[in-house]
Amino acid sequence: MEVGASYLVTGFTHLNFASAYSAHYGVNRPEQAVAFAKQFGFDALAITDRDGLYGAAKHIAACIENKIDPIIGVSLEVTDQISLGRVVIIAHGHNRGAGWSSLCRIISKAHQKKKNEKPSIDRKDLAELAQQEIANCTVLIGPDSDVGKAALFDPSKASVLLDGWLEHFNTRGCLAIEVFSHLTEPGTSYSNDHARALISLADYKKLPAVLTNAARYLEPDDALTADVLDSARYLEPLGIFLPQPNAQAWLKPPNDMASLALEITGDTKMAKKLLSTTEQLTDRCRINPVEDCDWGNPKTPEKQLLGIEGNPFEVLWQKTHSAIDYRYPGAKPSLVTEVQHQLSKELITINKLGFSTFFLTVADVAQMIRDMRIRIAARGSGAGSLVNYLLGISHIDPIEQGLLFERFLSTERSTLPDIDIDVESSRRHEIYRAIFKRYGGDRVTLLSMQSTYRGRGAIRDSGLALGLDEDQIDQIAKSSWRFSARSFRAALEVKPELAKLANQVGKNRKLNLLVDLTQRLDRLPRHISMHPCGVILGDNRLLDLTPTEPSGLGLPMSQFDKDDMDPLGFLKLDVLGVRMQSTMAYAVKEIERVENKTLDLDSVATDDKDVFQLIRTTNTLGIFQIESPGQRELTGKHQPTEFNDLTLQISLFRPGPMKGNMISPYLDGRHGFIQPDYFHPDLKPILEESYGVVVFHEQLMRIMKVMTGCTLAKADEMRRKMAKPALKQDIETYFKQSSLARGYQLSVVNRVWQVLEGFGSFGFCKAHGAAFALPTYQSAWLKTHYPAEFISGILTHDPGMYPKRLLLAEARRLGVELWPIDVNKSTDEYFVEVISGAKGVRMSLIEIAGISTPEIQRIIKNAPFRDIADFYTRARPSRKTIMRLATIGALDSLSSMEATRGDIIQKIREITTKPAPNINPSQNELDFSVTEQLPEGNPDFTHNQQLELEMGLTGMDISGHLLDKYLPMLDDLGVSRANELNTLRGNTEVLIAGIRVATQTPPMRSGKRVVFISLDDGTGCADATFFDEAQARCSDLLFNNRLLLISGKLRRTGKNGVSVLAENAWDLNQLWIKWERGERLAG
Amino acid sequence: MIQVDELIAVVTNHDGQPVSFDWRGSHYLATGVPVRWYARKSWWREVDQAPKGSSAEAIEVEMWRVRAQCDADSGVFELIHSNPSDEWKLVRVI
Repeated sequence: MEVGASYLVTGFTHLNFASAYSAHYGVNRPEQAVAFAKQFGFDALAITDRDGLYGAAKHIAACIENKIDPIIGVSLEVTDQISLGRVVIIAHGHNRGAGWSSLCRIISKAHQKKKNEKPSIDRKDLAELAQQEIANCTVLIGPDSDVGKAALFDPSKASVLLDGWLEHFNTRGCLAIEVFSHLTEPGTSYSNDHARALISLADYKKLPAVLTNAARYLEPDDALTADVLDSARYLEPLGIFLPQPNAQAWLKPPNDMASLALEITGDTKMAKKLLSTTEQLTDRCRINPVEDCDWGNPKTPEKQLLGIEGNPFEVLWQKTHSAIDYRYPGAKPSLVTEVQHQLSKELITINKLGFSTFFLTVADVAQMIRDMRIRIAARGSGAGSLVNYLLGISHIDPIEQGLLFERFLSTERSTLPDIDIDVESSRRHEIYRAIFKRYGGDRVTLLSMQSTYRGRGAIRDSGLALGLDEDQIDQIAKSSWRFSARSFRAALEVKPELAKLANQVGKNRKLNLLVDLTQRLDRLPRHISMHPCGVILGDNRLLDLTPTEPSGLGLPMSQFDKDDMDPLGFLKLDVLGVRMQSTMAYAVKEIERVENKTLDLDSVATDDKDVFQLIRTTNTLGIFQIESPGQRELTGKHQPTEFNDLTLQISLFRPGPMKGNMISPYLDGRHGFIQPDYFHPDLKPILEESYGVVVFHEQLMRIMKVMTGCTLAKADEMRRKMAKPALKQDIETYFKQSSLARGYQLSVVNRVWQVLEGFGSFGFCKAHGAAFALPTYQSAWLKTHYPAEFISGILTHDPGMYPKRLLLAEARRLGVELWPIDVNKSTDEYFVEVISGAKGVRMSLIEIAGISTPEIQRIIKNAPFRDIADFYTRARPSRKTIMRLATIGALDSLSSMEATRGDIIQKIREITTKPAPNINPSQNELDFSVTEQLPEGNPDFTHNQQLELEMGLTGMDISGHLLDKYLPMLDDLGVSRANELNTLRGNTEVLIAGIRVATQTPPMRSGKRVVFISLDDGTGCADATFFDEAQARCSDLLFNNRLLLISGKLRRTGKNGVSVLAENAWDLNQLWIKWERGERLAG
Repeated sequence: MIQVDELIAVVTNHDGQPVSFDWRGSHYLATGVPVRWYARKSWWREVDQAPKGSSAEAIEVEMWRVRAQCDADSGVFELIHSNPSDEWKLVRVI
């Protein structure tokens, strides 16, 4: 038959193919499918994923690359009171996007559902959206529709059901019958009989019948993966649900499809008709990406929405030039000339690329965010653009910082640039809503992302399919971080830590299968979710060009992901929430409230000596980017004195430069221990700032320019190519030839190339580093000048890596008072309160263990309270909450000075045994007596008891430092305090003690494990390093104990760089018990 | 319907359709056009491994329904055709 049918084929196209973007259904990615189709001689291929166009952009891109025509459709459930099953809807092409936009709107409509309802579209809505005078889409009524299901057993019922469709779809070509046969048992669904029944029905109703294979994988073998995906979709093991009937749903080549047509019809003429009708519909549905989807054409909101009249480029020119005075007040003529020169250069590039409106759009959003009084900062290479600086998108002066526009944008690349904006994390959603409001819901959607199967998920779902025991799957899944799921089998063979699992796999058939299934699932899309920061902005056609569905936030999100943005010409803005920005905004608000003055943090000069002095002490807790133990140590060695030092320090303290051993030569050069090596006098101006070490992309670009004579734009292109091994050779040849031709010595050329070559993974974009350094400086500035306000900010918005109790210790160290939790004063935030001239931070209610948000709200709303009964009645706390509040002293202000904590707790025991009285609206007075009587004679807590209760109930030692009680013993032992270490000589034997606040085991070049411990003793942080031998003595303690005493030798690493080379460690509590008993302490 | 499970010798035509077969000493001739379909297997109960690209054999099996006659004795026979071994097995007589 196979040979016999080939004469039938003039061409065949699969009009029903579900890719892996039909989550838990399709098996292969669009790129694979298109390559496969190309290989088998198809000249077009459809993608018809379930419920969306998730894979459509990737499909189109792959089709363009392989020079075949894309066809786009969707598989959707249709309803008309009851479910009518699934149909495939395909967009017609070459109609200026009418088909594409119909399809987008049909899908968006299908997703407008209540929460947890599956997408489906009402038949009337579908009919309305699919045809406007003429058909824009064809709806394929196939075996999975109501008609198709009836056709097999009850043709007359099928005919009646089909009338129901014909009633709504009356334009020509809007309906077709889809026929497919998966060669199942005669007389069952998807059999040849089923296909024949549908052909008869189509003939009877004079509808076109087209042949598909309802494909969901490329090859029969993939059917096994499809079985596992079905299991994940049904959430049941294989064998429990009705599985796919066989492995026939693959992308059969044209000849096979022709044979199939003949086998179904049993008649050459009928087979020919079936195939030619299929080709006719195919031709109608071939998509022209540019014409139909506006492929690659950048889309921005309309000018009038941005408040622009006339030529956008002229407006951009005007806006940027008029900002020069504001950004460079009183600048010298030479600087102004430089600014104008740079600006012209950038504007020419922007104009050439046609991106003027893009920049004006981002500027408009930035202005809107500022008008909302929300802090905003540019991140990434965008900070290298003067245009961005002048438009207020970025606050970094690229000229002063030596940043390069070409790193951000150049005519060598025509993709829309990424401008990432950092905003206050706590107000990010507010910004999203404002963007929707400003530009309208028809021009804005959120961005989505596809999460894919990785080790853990792949193991779990494979285990589920095989019906493995959940605990067993858990065990295996836990080890999955050790390898990539794709190479599970290989990892079992080589990794010694997986030997036990490998042994089990060898003995257990199902575990062995699990390995194969896991590898099959790896990287397949699982589900769509909201991208954490992306917003798409377009013009009023946006919803004609992308389908949307509700996000977790309620706002609609596009079904396309970030990789689809550039091909589709969508403008994506990354609005990232940054807690430090919230922290700083909060601190500024507190300064304004308490000090009654306004403060523009972004115009604060970046050369404040006091700020750098504070940084140099290494007391950097709470400061953006440089508070970690490692950064603290580096700060001690580095001793930054100006803004650029912060940029350098942030750029250097990353795994790449650390592994590449770039930090020591930099520090040695900086401190004059070695003579910096600039390779050639021409490179000195470029490398001077980093003492001969190539740290920044911008430096590499400048070196390329100086030595080869290329443009900076070309230099950046080469920088990108150098990361790809296949392209590196060309760059090397070019670099060496050009620099030799320009007269550089061979030895210089070779040495410089060696450095550039090794630079690849270590380099950092200076614009990015500078964009990070700004909030670093700003937070340090706030800490220096307004410690109380800053501490209240970091406590409220918690931007850092340390527990809050350490921030309290830092506050105490800075002389900031800590006012206890008080139900009459505390709120859900930490705020500054001045009591008798002393500035302090009022602790917040939110730290009380187990307190609920409604409880907090009731306390805030009803405060102040007259007494305990009043509090109990009006704030209606749970018994547990009121007891906890009393225990930590939050109710102290509700009773007389003489009452002890014990008296208050006793009182609460009494009143909480009765139910809380309801307030009688007509009578605001309470049942309790006006002057509240408290029980008397109950004991008060000791200071140490109080501290322990605070730790237990809030996780913080508020009224003192946890170490306080040990002080006599520490003095007795001669323990040094953290703030004394810097006054001691190197190699001094020291003891340090404190609360463990950080434990880190970074990867080391030698491969040996090193443990870094930071202890807080209330005077600051002391850092200790444990190498092998020391670890052997006490490794249990290092990871489990909170309170430690450590012995070791003091190591000086720089002016303010000290740490302890640890020899041993002890549990402070154990020592305390012995010391109290008067025992002699060993060691 | 009788369940059987016996390897048999089958003669096929150019298109791979069974024409005749021998079963328990009788020679059966196909009458009418045999019908082929694919039935699935519960591979998760049967196979030891399933690496990508192994084969579809684990998942599905080629089935034939043949009306056949031997002298006065006629019936409908269901056969399994295994690839690539090209073995035929009689599984049901209806």
